[in-house]
Amino acid sequence: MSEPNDRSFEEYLKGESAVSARYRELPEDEVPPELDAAVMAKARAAIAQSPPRTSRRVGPSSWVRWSAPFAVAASAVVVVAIVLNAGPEQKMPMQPHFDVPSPLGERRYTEAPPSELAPVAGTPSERIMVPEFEAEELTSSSTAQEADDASRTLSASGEGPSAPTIAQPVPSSPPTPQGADEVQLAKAREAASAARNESERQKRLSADIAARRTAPSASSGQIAAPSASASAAPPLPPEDWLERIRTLRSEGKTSEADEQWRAFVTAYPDFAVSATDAARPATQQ
Amino acid sequence: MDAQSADDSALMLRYRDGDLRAFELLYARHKGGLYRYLQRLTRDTEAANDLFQDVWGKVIASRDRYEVRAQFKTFLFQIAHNCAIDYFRRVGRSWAHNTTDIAALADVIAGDEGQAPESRASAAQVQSAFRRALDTLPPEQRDVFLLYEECGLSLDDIGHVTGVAKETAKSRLRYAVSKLRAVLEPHQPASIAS
Repeated sequence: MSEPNDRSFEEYLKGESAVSARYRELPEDEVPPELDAAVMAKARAAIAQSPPRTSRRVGPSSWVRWSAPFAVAASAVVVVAIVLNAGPEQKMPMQPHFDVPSPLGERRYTEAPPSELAPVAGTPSERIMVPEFEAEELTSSSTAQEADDASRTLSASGEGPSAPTIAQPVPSSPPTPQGADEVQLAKAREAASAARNESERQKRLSADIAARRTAPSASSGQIAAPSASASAAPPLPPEDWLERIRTLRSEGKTSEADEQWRAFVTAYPDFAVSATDAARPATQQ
Repeated sequence: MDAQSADDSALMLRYRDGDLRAFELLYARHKGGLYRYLQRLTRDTEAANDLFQDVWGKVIASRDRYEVRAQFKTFLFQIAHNCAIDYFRRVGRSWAHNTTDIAALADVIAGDEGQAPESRASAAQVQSAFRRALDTLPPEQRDVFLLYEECGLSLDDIGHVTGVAKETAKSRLRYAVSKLRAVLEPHQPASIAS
């Protein structure tokens, strides 16, 4: 069969064909009433069997309906977990900087980042970051050698014994919405006070260590200072010491003058003293 | 989607939500076209009645799953088309076996035309001849023609309903119209026949 005439078909598609007119003239068969009743009965029964749509699931499945709230809740949990885990590290740089008067008057207290707190061998921070417990242990050391080592460790950096406390970070606490600055300031003051106390303690420690280094050991029987009771005090200059011995002799305190003389000779063995000096014992003049 | 189609969808959604009155309106709007489609497609009143109930029964049963994706009319006649296909398979009549030689039908009508002018077919006779010509169309072409004329579907929708490409549906419609025109031409005045 050949292809029908396209022009006639286009006219038909426009509704201008006799074919469409003839079709519309066909008698319209009506739906029998019993069919109407049957269909409507089905429709009515279907509604009666199922509750109204408003009380039932509407639209997509429960998973689709709950997916968005679930995603939001999961995201919130993840964010909270991240904040709780990363919070302490992130708070450090956010703390304000304070100018705290240092015990030596030359230090500027600034918070060191965590990376600077880690001691690195061979660098000044190695000395700076000597823990406090180490200094305490050294203070209670029983031997002078240990104290000497500690003193060298503390003073080798050239920054004095107060360095360890300067670099110690301020203990951080969760910031409060109100008065966070006051809390931080109070903590900084406490830290400065602690640093000051620690500095003084370290000073005393250094002085003690230096005295031990200067003084001979007690087991050798030698006198460490012009006065045995003042072993921690540095020795007097030779001339002053000799003058003091002369005074003792002139006052008749011969035994004490002799004791001082022996100590002087021990402390200054090479110091030239005249053979007729009144400081010498009578047996040596 | 025109206003009526949108209204049809709204009625179906209302019925889905339990509004029986909405279904009554929807049913009254489409029952005639659907019934004629089924009757003229199957050429069997009893079968058309059964299919009519089946189609509306499926519409009712699918109301919970109904979503506005296309015109309600397309949704309705797709169900009807599928029910008709099932019917033809059930009764053992294939689309191909349901074909009558259109040339033989033209001869019959031409024989009527060979009578004296005064006894030429009346309008009723022409109508009857047209009806017989429609019935003798191959089912695929009759299906497409009915969907276009009775249901008012576009060629796109017809292709969607029948499961073929638009061009296939258009070709089927073109053949159907050509055959019907060939039957009608001897009875039409020159001014009408085109």
